[in-house]
Amino acid sequence: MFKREFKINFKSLMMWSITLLAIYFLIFSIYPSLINEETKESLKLMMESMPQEILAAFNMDIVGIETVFGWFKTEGYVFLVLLGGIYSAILGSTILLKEESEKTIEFLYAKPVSRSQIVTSKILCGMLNILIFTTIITIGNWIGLHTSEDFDLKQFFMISLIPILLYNMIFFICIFISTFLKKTKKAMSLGIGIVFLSYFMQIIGGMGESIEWIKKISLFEFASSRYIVLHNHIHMTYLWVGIGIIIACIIGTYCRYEHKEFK
Amino acid sequence: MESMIRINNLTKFYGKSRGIKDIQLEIEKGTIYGFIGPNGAGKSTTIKCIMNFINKSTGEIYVNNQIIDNKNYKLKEEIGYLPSEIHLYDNLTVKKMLDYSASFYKKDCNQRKKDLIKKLEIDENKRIDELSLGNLKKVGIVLALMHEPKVVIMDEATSGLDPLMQEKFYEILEEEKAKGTTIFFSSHILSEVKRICDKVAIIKDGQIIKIEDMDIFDKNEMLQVKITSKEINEILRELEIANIKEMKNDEAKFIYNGEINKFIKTISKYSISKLLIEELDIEDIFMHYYE
Repeated sequence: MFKREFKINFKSLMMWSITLLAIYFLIFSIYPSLINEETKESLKLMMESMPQEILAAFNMDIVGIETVFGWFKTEGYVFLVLLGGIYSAILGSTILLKEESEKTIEFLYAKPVSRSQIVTSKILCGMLNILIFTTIITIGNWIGLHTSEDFDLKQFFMISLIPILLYNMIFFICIFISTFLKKTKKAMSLGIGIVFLSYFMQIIGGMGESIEWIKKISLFEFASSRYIVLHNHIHMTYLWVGIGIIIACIIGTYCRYEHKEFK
Repeated sequence: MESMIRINNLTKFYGKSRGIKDIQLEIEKGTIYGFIGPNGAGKSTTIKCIMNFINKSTGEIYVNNQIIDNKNYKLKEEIGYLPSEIHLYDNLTVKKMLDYSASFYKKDCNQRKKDLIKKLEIDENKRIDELSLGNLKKVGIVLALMHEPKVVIMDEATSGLDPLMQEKFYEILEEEKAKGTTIFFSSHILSEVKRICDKVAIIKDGQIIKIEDMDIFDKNEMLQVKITSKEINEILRELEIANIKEMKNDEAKFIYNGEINKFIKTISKYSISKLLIEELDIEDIFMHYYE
């Protein structure tokens, strides 16, 4: 079951990974040629003219974007977690529900296999997909970034690997939600909706102290590169809360699926 | 005789609306048990409960003396299932689909699989999404029988099969029966139920209204009578006919299931202008129950 599930999802995994890598490679290759003394000056002027709140929302108040590693830690990172988040949401929304939506679940339920075995194989496959996705992107980014003059290996790995927590959270929240639904279309829209809502909550919440609480409850805060850049380590509270949410969603998924009806 | 499927007081409600109520069935080993009823009567709900796709409201289902529930999933080793609509993985070839199915069972399914493929003339190299409805059904039959289950649940098994394939399918069922396989056969096609089943349960409005041995239909005494007479009302009264199917001026069409001599004696007292007596065929008998 696991092998088959992996095969089904492999194409999509490769498409997402290669597309994202291609975009990064394009930016990595042209970025240095765009940066010279003149553009550095105009970038500086542009940054000064922008409100502090907007700069903070993209980490540009603490990191300069004169180098490609600087770009990666700001806009590049936002791009990575947003696309990775959407990929995880699609994976989570469809991996379990697709069988019901396409009615192939009738085939599986007729086999001597328990419902928890079905959930386990799907969950493990999803987690492996996320791990492979992150590994491909991390290796690709390392190749493209390690020559950057301000490259910091420890910071790079922390920034590259912390999204695994975010992706898994989104994946398991979406899987859990999908146990309440019948059609993947609805689950996918809801999953992607959650990703965008979280993303905008983080952006908006970063614009002022009075609304900072909005940012704190955003899923994207669980993979904040800002904290890593500022403190050079991972925010442990978010890590444990994140793991807690994942465990709660896993338990919820098993319980719901055990009693779900296939009509 | 050993019972292979036992259903006790099975009830299923969908919210407040009724699905099935107090279904009670006992199916003996090696029999082909027909299950018929009009659309929406509860046939599929009963089957989905047996397969544990949906949760029962009350009642128990035993297969081979073991209770069906989520924990007892290994019992499915002994059950084959043929749904009315087959949904398989579109991107697989028939061969890969059958191999995938076989991978779930502890036994070697190869020999039976080969036999069935040959008998049903299945092209293993075709992709699932290239198959016609009939060919998909044939693959479904192999999937249901390849692991040589002790019990087979079939829902509208012959829909989509051409008459030639239907014949082959009936032969396969006879083979299975000879091996001692118990088959629960839900169908709309009454003639095939009469042909292959040993016993039949009729379900209507979620409840079993009749369970009959199939030979009852061979020796059934129900007659369809059409009489034209000026004294039709008196005749009907004297024959105590409750179920009049048609009444037009002096003509009445009804089902008579009483004693034949009493019938002849009664009508001989009246002036009859036209009389037609027919034996009820299986469709009429079932319609009689459905109504």
